[in-house]
Amino acid sequence: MTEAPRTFPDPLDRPAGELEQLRRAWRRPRGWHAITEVNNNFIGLLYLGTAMLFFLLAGVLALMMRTQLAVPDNDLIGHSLYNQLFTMHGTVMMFLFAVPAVEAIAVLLLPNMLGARDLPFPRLSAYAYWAYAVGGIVFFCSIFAGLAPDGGWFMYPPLSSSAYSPAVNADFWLLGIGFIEISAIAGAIELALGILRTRAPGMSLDKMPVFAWVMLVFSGMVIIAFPAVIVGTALLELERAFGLPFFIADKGGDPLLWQHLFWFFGHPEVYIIFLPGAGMVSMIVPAMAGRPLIGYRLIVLAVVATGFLSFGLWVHHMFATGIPQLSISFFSAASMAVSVPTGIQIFAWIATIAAAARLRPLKTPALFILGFFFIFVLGGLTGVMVALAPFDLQAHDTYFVVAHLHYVLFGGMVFPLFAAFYYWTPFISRRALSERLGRWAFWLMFAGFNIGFFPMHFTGLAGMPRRVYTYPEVYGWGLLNMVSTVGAYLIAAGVLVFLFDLARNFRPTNTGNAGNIWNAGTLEWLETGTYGPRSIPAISSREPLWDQPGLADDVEAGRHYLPNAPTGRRSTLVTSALQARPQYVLDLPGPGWAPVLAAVGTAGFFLLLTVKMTMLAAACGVLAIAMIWRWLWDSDPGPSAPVDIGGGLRAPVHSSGSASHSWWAAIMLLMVNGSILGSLVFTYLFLWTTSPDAWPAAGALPGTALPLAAGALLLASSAWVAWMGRGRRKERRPRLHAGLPPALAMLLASAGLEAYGQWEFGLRPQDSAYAAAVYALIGLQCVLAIVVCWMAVFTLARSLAGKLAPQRRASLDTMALFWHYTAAQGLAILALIHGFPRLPG
Amino acid sequence: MLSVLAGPLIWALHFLLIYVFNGIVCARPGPQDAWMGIALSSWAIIAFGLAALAAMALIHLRLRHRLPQAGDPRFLPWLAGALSLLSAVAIVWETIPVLFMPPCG
Repeated sequence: MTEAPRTFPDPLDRPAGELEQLRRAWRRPRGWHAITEVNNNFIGLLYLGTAMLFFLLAGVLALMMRTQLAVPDNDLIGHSLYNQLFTMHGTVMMFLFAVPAVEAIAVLLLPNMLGARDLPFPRLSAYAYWAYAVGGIVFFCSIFAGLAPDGGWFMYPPLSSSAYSPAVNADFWLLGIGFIEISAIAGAIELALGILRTRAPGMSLDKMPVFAWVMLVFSGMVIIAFPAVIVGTALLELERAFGLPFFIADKGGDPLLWQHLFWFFGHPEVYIIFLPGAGMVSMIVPAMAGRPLIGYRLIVLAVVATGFLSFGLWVHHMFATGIPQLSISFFSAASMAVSVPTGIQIFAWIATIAAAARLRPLKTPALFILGFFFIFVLGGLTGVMVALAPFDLQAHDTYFVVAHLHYVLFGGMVFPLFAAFYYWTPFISRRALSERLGRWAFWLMFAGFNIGFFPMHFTGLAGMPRRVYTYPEVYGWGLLNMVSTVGAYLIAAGVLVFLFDLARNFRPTNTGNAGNIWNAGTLEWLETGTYGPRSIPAISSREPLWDQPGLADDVEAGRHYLPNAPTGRRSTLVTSALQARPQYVLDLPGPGWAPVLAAVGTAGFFLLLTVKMTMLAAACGVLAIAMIWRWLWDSDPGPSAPVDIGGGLRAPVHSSGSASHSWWAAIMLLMVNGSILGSLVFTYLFLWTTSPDAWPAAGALPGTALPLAAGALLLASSAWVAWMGRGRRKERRPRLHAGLPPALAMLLASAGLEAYGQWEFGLRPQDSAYAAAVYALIGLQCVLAIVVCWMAVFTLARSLAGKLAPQRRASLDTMALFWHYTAAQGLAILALIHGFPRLPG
Repeated sequence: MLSVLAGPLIWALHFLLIYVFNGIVCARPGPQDAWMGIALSSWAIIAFGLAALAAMALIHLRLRHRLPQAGDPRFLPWLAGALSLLSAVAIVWETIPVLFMPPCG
């Protein structure tokens, strides 16, 4: 900031033509160029619509299963299709509906809640969306060819390994889901950065809406947890395609390794889905009750604590696998601990409702929230039951667990989501949804859910296993199953009523929405255009619309921050992470083909690889890389003169170094890398504990000369890059041009040297689980070295094109960060591979 | 921010440590003595728990007044303290089973 801040709202009139300039900058492309739009309101709505499409599709699969199970000895659907149905139902609901739906709601709502015009990397959200949409739809279509995965949504080996699943069904899962996770991570980085750096001025951490807290924790959890499943799928695919025996017991592998990696992702995943649902509840309850949330600090505490504790639960999906009893007890205790913060949230909501200033007549969102309480608390109670290892052994793999998980997920996520639909439709649509139809939808879904799933507790206790396509009459499960099927169809009827309501009343718009019909207090209910709010409000309260009289009018009159498009392009205000003090104006990219084409290329690459069309897959990969290059080329436009941001203030349009948003995003990406490395190190150590025989004795290792040389090369290249990047004031192009290629050669040589050393020593990746783990670690190092190589070429190209300068060095800074990380990772891997087996004992 | 998250971070390290430690103890069974009816490896787990609690208390007491500000000056210190407390409860709960569970089997 260049001047002392004047107080807002600024009473002076805004210059003429300012609003037109703002509109022009944020104008949507028309015709078939419409799909090149990257703005969060557009992408968010598409994203949500696609997620709902998958909800409906997976729901149809569920109805087919319920129809099959309605009567004993039914032969409507054969076992082969049934296996595909339950696998696809779980997979689609978890990966293609639940996580994308909450990310979609966040993409749509968060910038508006935070008072920002858009998220900081609009093209990244567009890319994440298109990759998910194209990939997801093709993945779903595999069921029409009978090629859908059929090994359960968790794909346990050895059932999913090539010995028992030789067809490509499992590969569809491994490659399809693996890359949809990448899209989820991209979205999470985008959201976390938006929450930390684009809040309205004055919105310090303690004034942030709970939904923003929740999505911040969500993003952190995605960044740490999702890499584990990416590693798991990569290892299983390596085993299936190239015979690296990670999970084959004969060669020292262990199927349990998959369960660890899968559930290290899979359990946090449950909270990754539930927390945003809880966040929506925390937003809707105050609006319905007409008073601020009671226990805001306690809820923030609960959300952050859940984010951590939920990582200590993964083994509670593995109680029946023969893990030592004491170890199981740790997880049992952690499972009890995590119910404390969840309980805190529930009591805070109940207290807010009890102290409500206005609640009656109950509106549809309130109904769905009350339904959520009832169902989720029941699911939580059965959760405490199955967290007790002895009971779990009894209920394991029966319909009791099916009942429990649906009570938690349907109650904890779907009901809040429908509350959110009814609550936020006036924000994005010309008309609100119908109260009368909403009641019908609620009661059908609520009654249907309980009629459908409550009897499953008894079906399970009576011994009916999960994932069976039929059962004989003598077991006496017929009546309970028939009731469950009736309930399932009632849920479907409720969803149909909702769809009918949508068709009648949902008219998406950014300008002229139905407005703040709930009289809620948060910023998304300000009047908006395609550009978000007319000006970015200065905030002094958690519910600014309640506590700052006249705010909506002042914002609309442009009396707050950034009432204009000072660069002539799209822009938003970046603020500091803790206090939300204005720092600089972020120039945002507009519509473009690059994100869409990059996404199509990425999806094509992975899916074509599945069906072994290698050349075409390679072409798609090149397309993706070229398009990502294209889109990065325009970023980092460099500094310009400070611009007017309203109130007589001027702010810079640019920032570099550790204050910039790109630096923060790079750090988050490195955390993803760190989690990937952690998962592979865990793989190595876990396999060592289960099959020590596969590990070589200290004398049977390659000599230390090559690894020492490789380590020295890493250190040298890292130091060289640090030296080249020194001096932020003067330009040193010759040094960079001459220095980068040899530094790069050293980095690549180091990775190559280690691979060569192991190969020359006679170790082959297919030999044993030990060899496979070693080559997996080396492979990770090679992949990162290649990524750094790409970044270095990009940086060099920018420098040659004159797009790199001392004040315009984001590509150089990001490359250097990755470079040092890669060197450190290489040293850690060398130390593990060559040091660990030499340890005494 | 890291200082606000010290409590749960220590919890995470402690949790990973006791799980890996007990896993290795059971995967590589060596001679195992007991004292007061509790295996030595389980005594080690109790020691880890006490060390984690002590570290948490120490960090909290030292950093309480040096936390960054975010709006209400009491907000982050309160959050850090409450997170530590909740993490401490989790650590205690996770340690209790060693008193009546055999380490392996």
